[in-house]
Amino acid sequence: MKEEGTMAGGTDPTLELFERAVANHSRRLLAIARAIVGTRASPEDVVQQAVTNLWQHRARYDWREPGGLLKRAVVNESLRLLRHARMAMVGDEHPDKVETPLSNMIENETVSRVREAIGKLPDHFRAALVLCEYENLSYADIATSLNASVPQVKTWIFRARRQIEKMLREYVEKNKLGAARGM
Amino acid sequence: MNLSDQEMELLDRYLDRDLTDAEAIGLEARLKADANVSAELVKMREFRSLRAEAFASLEPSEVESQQLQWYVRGALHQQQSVAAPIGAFDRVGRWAGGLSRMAAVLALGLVVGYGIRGNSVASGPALVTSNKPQPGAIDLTQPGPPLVLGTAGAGGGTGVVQVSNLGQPAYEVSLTDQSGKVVATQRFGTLQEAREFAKDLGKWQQKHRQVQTNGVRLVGDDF
Repeated sequence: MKEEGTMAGGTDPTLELFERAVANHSRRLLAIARAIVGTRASPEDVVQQAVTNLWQHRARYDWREPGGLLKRAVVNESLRLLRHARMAMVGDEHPDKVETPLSNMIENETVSRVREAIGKLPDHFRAALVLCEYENLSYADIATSLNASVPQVKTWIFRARRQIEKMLREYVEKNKLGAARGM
Repeated sequence: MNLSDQEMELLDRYLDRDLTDAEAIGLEARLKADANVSAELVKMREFRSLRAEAFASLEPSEVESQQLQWYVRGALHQQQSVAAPIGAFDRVGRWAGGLSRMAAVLALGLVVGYGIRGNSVASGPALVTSNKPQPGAIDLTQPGPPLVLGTAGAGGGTGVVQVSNLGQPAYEVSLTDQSGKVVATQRFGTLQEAREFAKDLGKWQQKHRQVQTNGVRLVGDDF
């Protein structure tokens, strides 16, 4: 069993509260970053950067809902990183790509194909889809997170879904036929 | 017959539970009457379930989550310790201070990465007792009890030490800075967990370092 980690020397109560909020949401934050940046950047870097930025400018924000704030920071940092061409190049050619825990989680071809299709979506489509289907956020909350309007978010999600369906249609049909023949 | 975009959007919103009660009742009546619409809904549900499976595969493990918390904690602590003197500076000074803090965090990351990279060679992570690094190193890559390999590298890094906690054995991974000061610690119940954590940490630092060096992979990382 793991126990609580401790900071050497750090006794700032605000920092402790902040760390606790990060600890409570760290799993979700990492999952969101993974879903949005995929293999094109390090999700851990994304979360760390987002969290340190948030801490640095903590006075600017309303901390009544730290979870939402942290998630928004991670989404924005993910999108910011994806806009950075250099990061995309590094990620694509990453030599450890095959060995990462992330890739080890790909259990079968279908999951791999679906993730590939999600990865091919435009960044905002993917972010909106992740927040809608993975985080189960309402359209209004997604709009706030992505700094967009609700109709815009609905359009992104709609297009994301149709594009994924288009990309996977042939594969899914083939699999269905294969399964039917195997019976 | 293909459905229109409006009809498809209505089905999407139905699955997202975004329809009003009246809209939902109207759609459900139509689903019963129109085989095309209900067939499309089934198809949408299938794709949605595929996406859910793909998203589920992204769930981080507990160790990964702990590792992230540990890193964030280290970075925040580092930022906090540098931030105090900066408070006295003017706006320009704060901007410069921000850069220094970032540099300090990156430098810490590089130092940790350097320590981890040397796991299987003589410059392994420092063996830490009583929160003070001591000469000696542990091979985290091999199964079994920790192996002391040699003297620690001068650059700081991480280490594993077995500590006693009211008779219960526990293992602590410590992150030290360049001066050897323990910045953060994480305690584990088993050596296996501690090793796994330190190993993941090493991999992450390697990736981090690679990003910092514009994608150049150091040959030394392979050893």
